[in-house]
Amino acid sequence: MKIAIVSATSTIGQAAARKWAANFSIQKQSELQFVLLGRNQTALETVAADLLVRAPKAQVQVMSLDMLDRQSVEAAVNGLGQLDVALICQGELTDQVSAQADSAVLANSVMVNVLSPTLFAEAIARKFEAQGKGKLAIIGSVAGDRGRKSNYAYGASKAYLAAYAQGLVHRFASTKVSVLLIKPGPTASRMTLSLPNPPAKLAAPELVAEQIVKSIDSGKRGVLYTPTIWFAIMLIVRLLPSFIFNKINL
Amino acid sequence: MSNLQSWGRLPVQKQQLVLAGSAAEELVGQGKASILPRGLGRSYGDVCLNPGGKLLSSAALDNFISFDPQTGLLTAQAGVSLGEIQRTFAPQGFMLPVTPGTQFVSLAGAIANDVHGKNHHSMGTFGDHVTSLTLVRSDSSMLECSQETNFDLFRATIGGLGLTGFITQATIRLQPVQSPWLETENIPFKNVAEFLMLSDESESDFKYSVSWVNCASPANGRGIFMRGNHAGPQFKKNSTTILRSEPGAGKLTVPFDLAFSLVNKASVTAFNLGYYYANAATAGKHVSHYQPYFYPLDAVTKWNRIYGNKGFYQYQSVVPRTGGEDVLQEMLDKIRASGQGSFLSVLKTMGDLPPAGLMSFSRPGITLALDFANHGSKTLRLLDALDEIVLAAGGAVNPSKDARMSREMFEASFSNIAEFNKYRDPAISSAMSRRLLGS
Repeated sequence: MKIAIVSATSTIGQAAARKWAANFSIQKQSELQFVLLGRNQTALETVAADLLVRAPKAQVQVMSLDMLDRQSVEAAVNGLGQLDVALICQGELTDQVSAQADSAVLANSVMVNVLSPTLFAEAIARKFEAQGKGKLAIIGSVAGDRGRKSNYAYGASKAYLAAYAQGLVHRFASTKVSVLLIKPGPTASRMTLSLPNPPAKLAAPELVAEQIVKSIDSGKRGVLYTPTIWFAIMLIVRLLPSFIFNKINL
Repeated sequence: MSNLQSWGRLPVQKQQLVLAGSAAEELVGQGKASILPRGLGRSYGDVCLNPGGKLLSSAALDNFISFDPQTGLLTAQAGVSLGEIQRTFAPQGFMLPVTPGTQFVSLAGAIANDVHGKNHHSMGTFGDHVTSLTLVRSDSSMLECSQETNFDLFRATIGGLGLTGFITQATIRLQPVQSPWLETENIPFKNVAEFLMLSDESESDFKYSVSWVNCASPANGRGIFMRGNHAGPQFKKNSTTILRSEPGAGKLTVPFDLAFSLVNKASVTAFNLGYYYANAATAGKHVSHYQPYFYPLDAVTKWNRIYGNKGFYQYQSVVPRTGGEDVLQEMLDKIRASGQGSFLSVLKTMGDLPPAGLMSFSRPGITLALDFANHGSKTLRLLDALDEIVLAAGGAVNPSKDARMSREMFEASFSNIAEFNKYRDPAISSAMSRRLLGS
């Protein structure tokens, strides 16, 4: 099984890679191939070394590139060859206050959270279409389910990915290509733990990764909320009438 | 600011948590604010607390770096947990040479507290199996420390309670094992004398031994002696499938904070009676997976919540073997008389391997570890009384688990304090160091 992880240095991307590595017994590890893509070569090599300790017989390749450049992205994806699974994880937790005050922050947020994953998603979709099969998963967020004042710069970019993935699911509905948008709730990651006031309840990345890997492996299509409780929470958040929602501090 | 506590959940002021990068440059230029390395926060007392200051977390440093199956040498970043090491390497035929009673401990935390386990008599402490470590200090130096290089700093850092610098990574030697299973044997004993006899006859043939002892009444002093060895390759066949199901680990939890403690005289007495009879009834030989054998309490995540929101104290002492029987009996009598029994009272003999660290707690003798619900001054008085017994016997109290001992007790427990102070990092201090080392 050949798995490409885009932004493999992200907490969730790395946790998913570790989960796949753990799922393969020593005897079967030689069938496992990882391609780790990202910006930072040194950081990717750290992730690769970690995976090789966990699965010494697996193959691990790293590829650093300009993740915002459409030609680099296309060339990288074309160079991957036959691929079974692709997990797209990049993103930054945009600081809403800075994004409102500084258009450079806003522009960067759109590039990292929208432009880059879209370029990868479409290039991989083309590859899977040509292969006639493949499993594509994109990390979105529960923050994309409803815009709110404390994080709409980030949330809107995740809402864009949700609609994009929805379109891909529709496009590949009657094929062997599965497309899954993953909406993690707040997860204990470098992104959230570095906040000055980290949320009190954060999901463990290992748990989130376990659900992600299981869903991708099973060929699940559509949307995955993880931990599962966030399906119920976001259902309520989405259904709240505006006249109530707009009075709540969220 | 986060509401971070230690595992004992005693009340504490707020502290700020900062994530360390691999060069731990966050240590440099901190000015006057104290900073303290922090792993998984599983220490019971105040060694992992820095009220009013900052905690530099190793949470983002969770990568394995390299492993050589020829030598068993594993290099990993500071924040890798012992559980992660066991889970990763048991299927590859290796395990930690020494592990404490919980796997939710970081690699650096295990070194800084020079932890020990059920095999102290045969394998020494965790520090005995560390071959090198990388230490970042607030003068922005990054030092390789081992038996060969910077040995003084190496020896001060093992068991150095996090006070000598930030450990970013370390190399340890894993032990080869033939299966993740252990052959175990439980033997009931009636009193401390019987416990010592069982220890004497078991130490050469059993790699692991530990005992639970009843310190409530009735039948104070009786207990269960548990000894074991790694099982042979006959258990290897199904090891991967069985490992998947990971017996125990974290399947149960105490899901919310309790306003009061479930631990009281009635529940402790009932537990101690029940625990004895349940184990005495199943005495004999068993085969056990390493998870329930090494980490019985990990089966219930957040078990510390049963002590309610006042938290609890852990008390671990070691007393010399000579005269140890009477000393232990005196301690058990004192605890019984106080009516503040402990749920899990652990009794073990420690071997005479020389300690790896300058400030290692482990030393030859008999160690007793106890948990006490925090009932304020009543509990503190009992612990002070236990200190007096330990002090008179020439023993020591473990600072890694302590939140209340006096400086006198600490100074009586450790003879190398002045030497240790030379290797401390001036930017680093903890609630414990300010309490027991004066800064």
